[in-house]
Amino acid sequence: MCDSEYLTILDDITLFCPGFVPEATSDIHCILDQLLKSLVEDESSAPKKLNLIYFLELKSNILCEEIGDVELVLATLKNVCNSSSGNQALLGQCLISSTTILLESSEKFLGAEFDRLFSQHVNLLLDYVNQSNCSENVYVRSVSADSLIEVELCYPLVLKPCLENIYALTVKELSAAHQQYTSLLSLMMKHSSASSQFGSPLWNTYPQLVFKSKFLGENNSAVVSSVYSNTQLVSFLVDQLPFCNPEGVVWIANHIIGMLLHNTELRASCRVLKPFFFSCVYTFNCAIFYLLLYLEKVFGRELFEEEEHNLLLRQLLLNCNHPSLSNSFQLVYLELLSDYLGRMCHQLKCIEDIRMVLTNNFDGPDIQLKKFILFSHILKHKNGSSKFLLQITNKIRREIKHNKGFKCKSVFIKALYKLLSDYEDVSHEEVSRLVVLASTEDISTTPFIVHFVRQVQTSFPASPLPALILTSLVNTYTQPNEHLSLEALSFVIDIFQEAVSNRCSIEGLKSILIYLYRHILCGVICKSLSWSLGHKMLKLCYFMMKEYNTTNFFYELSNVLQGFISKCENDDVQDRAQLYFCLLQSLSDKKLKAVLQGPRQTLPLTDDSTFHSQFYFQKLDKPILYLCKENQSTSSDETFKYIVESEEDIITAYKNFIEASSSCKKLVLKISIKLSQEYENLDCLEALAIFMESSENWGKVEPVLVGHYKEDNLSVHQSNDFVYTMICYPHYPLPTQLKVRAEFSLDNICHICPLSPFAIEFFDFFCVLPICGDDVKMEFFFEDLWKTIEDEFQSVVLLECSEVQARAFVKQKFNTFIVGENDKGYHVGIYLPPGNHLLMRYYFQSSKTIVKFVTDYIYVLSWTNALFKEFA
Amino acid sequence: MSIRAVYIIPSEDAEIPIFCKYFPSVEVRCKSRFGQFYVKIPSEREFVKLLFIETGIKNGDVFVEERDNCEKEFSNPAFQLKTDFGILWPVIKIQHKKLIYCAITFEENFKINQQSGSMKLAFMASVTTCLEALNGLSQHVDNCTTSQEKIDRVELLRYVNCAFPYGRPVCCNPSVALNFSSTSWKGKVKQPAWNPLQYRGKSQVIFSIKEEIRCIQCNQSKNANPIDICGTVTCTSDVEGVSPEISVVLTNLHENKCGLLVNACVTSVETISASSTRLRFHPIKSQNLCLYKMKTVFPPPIIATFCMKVKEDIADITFKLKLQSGVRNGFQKLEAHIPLNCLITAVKPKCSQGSLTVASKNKLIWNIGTKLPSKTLEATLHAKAKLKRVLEKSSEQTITDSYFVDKEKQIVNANALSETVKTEYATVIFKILDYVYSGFKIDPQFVIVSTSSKVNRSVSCECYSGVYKIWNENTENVIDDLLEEQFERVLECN
Repeated sequence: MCDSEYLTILDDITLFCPGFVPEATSDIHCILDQLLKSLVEDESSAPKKLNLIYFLELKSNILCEEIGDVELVLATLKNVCNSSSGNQALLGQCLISSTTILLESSEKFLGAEFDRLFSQHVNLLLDYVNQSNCSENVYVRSVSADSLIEVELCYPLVLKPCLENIYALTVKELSAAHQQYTSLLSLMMKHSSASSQFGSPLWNTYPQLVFKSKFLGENNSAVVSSVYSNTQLVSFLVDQLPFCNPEGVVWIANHIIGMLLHNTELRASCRVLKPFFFSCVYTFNCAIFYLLLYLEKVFGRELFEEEEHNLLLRQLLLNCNHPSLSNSFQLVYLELLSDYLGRMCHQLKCIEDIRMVLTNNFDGPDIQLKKFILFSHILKHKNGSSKFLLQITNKIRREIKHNKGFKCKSVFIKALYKLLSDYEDVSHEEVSRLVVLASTEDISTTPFIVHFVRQVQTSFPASPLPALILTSLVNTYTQPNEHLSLEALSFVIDIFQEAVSNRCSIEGLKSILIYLYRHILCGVICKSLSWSLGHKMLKLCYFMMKEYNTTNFFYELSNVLQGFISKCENDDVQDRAQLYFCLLQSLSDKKLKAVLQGPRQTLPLTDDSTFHSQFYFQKLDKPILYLCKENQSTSSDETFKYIVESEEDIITAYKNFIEASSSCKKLVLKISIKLSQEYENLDCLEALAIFMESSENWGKVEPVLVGHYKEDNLSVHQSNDFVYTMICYPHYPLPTQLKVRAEFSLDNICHICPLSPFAIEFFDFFCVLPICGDDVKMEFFFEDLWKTIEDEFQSVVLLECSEVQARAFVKQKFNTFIVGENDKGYHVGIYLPPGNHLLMRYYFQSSKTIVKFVTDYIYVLSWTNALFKEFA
Repeated sequence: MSIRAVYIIPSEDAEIPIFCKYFPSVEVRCKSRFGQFYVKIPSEREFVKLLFIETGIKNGDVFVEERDNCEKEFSNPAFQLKTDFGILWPVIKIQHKKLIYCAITFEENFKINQQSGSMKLAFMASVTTCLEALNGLSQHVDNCTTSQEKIDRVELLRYVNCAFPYGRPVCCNPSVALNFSSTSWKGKVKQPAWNPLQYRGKSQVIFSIKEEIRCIQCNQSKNANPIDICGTVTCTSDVEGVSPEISVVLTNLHENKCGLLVNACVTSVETISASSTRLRFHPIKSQNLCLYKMKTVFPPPIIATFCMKVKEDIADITFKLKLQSGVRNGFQKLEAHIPLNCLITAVKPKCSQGSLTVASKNKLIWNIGTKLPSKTLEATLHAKAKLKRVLEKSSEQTITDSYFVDKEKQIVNANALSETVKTEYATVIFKILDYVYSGFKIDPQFVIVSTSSKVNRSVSCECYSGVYKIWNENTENVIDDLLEEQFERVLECN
């Protein structure tokens, strides 16, 4: 048991058993023992015992860690039963709790021990049930029957061997407990009549249940088969209904219907339920009414005349619209009516009848929406119905301003959406008018309207309605309104933002900007703008700059930004406005777009793909190109001239040369560019440029400016024509991964496309020493350089291989970099841009080779060691 | 048809339920049946939080995508709660006197991998059963508690275990359910489950008729003002016998039984004459016997006019009401309420009778008294109220924005109050004892008890206002006169 469980237990003990204080322990067994001990104590009062039992039931899952604990709990509860036979409520609770604890424990403990407990408990319950007509324990027997119902529900057909006995007891029982007996019998009968229909037992396992012989019928199978073929049992169950509570009636009648439905022999007996129908049809009890509708649904044709159908409908309509019934009940009745009319709506008469549902001016929003859905459903495909439904929507709309909460607004947009989904002939102008009215009457409807517009766009992409609504809203809200509060202004800006995000016309944009400048950014209102509202408005400006051609509204936008700069008192808002203003003034529209990134869109690959936008950057999700490394890096253009004067001077001079030479600092790689397979059919990419990004610590990479990149060139020319130079300026010779993106123009629209990352490996840094001289000089230079950097970082590697293999390895990997060669070995000198070295000496022996290497950059050691991994 | 858990939650400012009961054996069945699709019940706190958002008790003034999404299936009173473990469905909710009664049901008919919410309510027996169970629970709480703080958890557990042991409703009438545990039986006659405890003593039957009148009065409507007259008949009885039956005659039910709905205990509904209906029913200690609704169009018992005009910061109010002749002129309560969306700083009333008070700084209550002048049956109120704008801080503003809020106040105050103060309607609240407006009647002489000839019979009645709105004359027409007309047209076209 974890701490939190322990604390919960303590909390609940305090709540349920105020007098019970467990000893200070976190051992669950101890707590359980104390609880059980307290339960069997004679002096404990019945209410205290009841509380302890409630608590045991609630926490049994935690308290019972072993099957032994469950057994202990059940035995204790049985003891309580035996010792308090006078207290029916306590006894009943013991049975309910022990059954619950046992069934709950089935999840944890399955097996022989559980089966034994299960058998004992079921037999105990049957023992009680068997005492039919005992006047002393009516309630306990009723609870026992209920407990057996729960057992039968958990393990269908498990009580089947006792069917005869239960039937006999039910017939015999005269006390109020007969309802539970009949309920148990009806369930067992239903399970027996169509066993395959009623699911599997708990955890798909039946416990081994051994009944006491007295519970089994003398000739069980015969009775059961006679029950199947005998409609008298159904009649018996029907006869019991007048003696039952409505809840009992629902349970038993439901099972009778189930039995009749699943047993073809019994189906003909459905007429026995007709009196039941007439006795219940005027009821307002929705559980019973549900049952009548279920009866009509499954046996309507056999059982009901037209008159009965009409009676049922009339009462259903009354229930739907009865002012004395609460909303929840009316809503359920409307749902039932909807289902009923869905089956019966071919009868026009029915539809005329539902007129009475209409005329209720007292309906709340929920009921109005339910009725709307109902009408939308039954009037489908009828001329003029969309107009009628729009009128209902208008009625809902009118209530928005009188009801402050979310409900009317939510119901309004849901009704409109349902209308658009169900009817194609809805007048868009009228919908737009209603939306604008709703918004102007209560501006807080805006978020609902924005959601509605987006939902319509998603579900009906071709619909002109969203644009129509947004245009109307923009037209409305760009009119001067001297009573507009700042809170309302926030909603108005939301509407503008939505309009601007949805390809607003240039006139619309201009009118928004003019409105902002003339009516919002004038004097006192601008001064009182909050930080958040100011930024909201600037976000709108930013969006316009990013997504639209600013040349069309340059003057208006400049005015707005200047308005912020000169009149707004919030420094942060002012700064942001200043920044936008500078960008707007100093950059061309094209450059402005390059600075402010465009939205993500996928390039359609169909031939007829057209781009209507003149202003957008299109961003592709999939790489259109990929880069390939052509060969090793190229060496520096500049070289140090070796002149023998002074050895010491040579190295210093060399270092100075390296320091001064820009050519030696860069890493030059050759790359080729190829179109991805998916985009092979593209004709031409214009103004192609490849941009690479590295981490700031690594260094910089210059973009590769390709220019026009045509497919015909690609097919004719081979790689050389399309090999490009990539120039990097690393800080250190360290491998890295570069982020790559391509920018190009296609059909006069600029595209941005991220490409696969490009790896620069350690080997790519290898360059020939930038020194020019003959072999002898090179050998001297190597020795001098070795001596100079020897003190910095050096290492030795032993290659466990033959001499031949070792020589082949060196030739293959480092041939270009060998600066000296003799019988004993090779000297390899490698220059690593931007100014480091790796010098290696190979000493060959017959079965092994020693490699000594020095470097002036420590991390090179680890990367070099990795080169010899194959000999490790 | 089983309930997994039942909750009682205060409808406002609650973080945890005041009562909660889980049914572990139902939970085990649910878990076993749905396997990997089983959705665990969240903690009580989490459940309340999710329910409040879903039903709009929390965030009820803003748009919540999960709740207000246009595409979301509308299934009230069954709700879907999106928990960390999956979608909990169906969660049934009813509200009664500031308490929310809520239950999670286990619908055995669900297919194992059925999408939440894809099954229609009309196919779910558990929903209707659960609604009745919650209704019974609310009645029990009503009967045995005076305030939500005093709810006795253990007493409720006792009721729940009697009314729906194992989450299965067996008897939801509180007076029967609680008697059941003390039932005893002696005799050779079958004892019905609805009468588990035999009454011994002098039989008595008390009927109580409560009639509610709802009305909307709007001068601009072309048609008659909408009015609803409905009532509830409650029967409280202590009757001898194992299986007694009571017969009662309801008179002045215009258009006969068309507007009549009865309790399930009613065994027969019999038409006697054009306006009389006889009911035979099994008496239960206390129960709503029937609900009626008048279909005949009645004129409103009180006709009123309301006019409010705001000039600058002064509201000029005129309220007139007139009692229909024939209506009993004796009220237990007669008030007119005029709510305003601003503060009332001063009021200068001039009423023909009664007194005018200001409640909660923003509502005028005209207490008219118990009787209107017998000659005119009219009362008039003229009042001038000085108003001040209420400023609600924008949810968007933060504390650091207080400077700007102050600025906003200055601007808004500069706007004319006449544009911002809107009172669309006033309400009339009345209650008349020993009177029903519709004329609906139960004659005690015709109450017959099958098991006893000597019975104390009595009938009490009262009439009260429900929604009784008087729209401001300056407000647009709120009553849709054309709806029915339009509907007729659709039917004619087809």
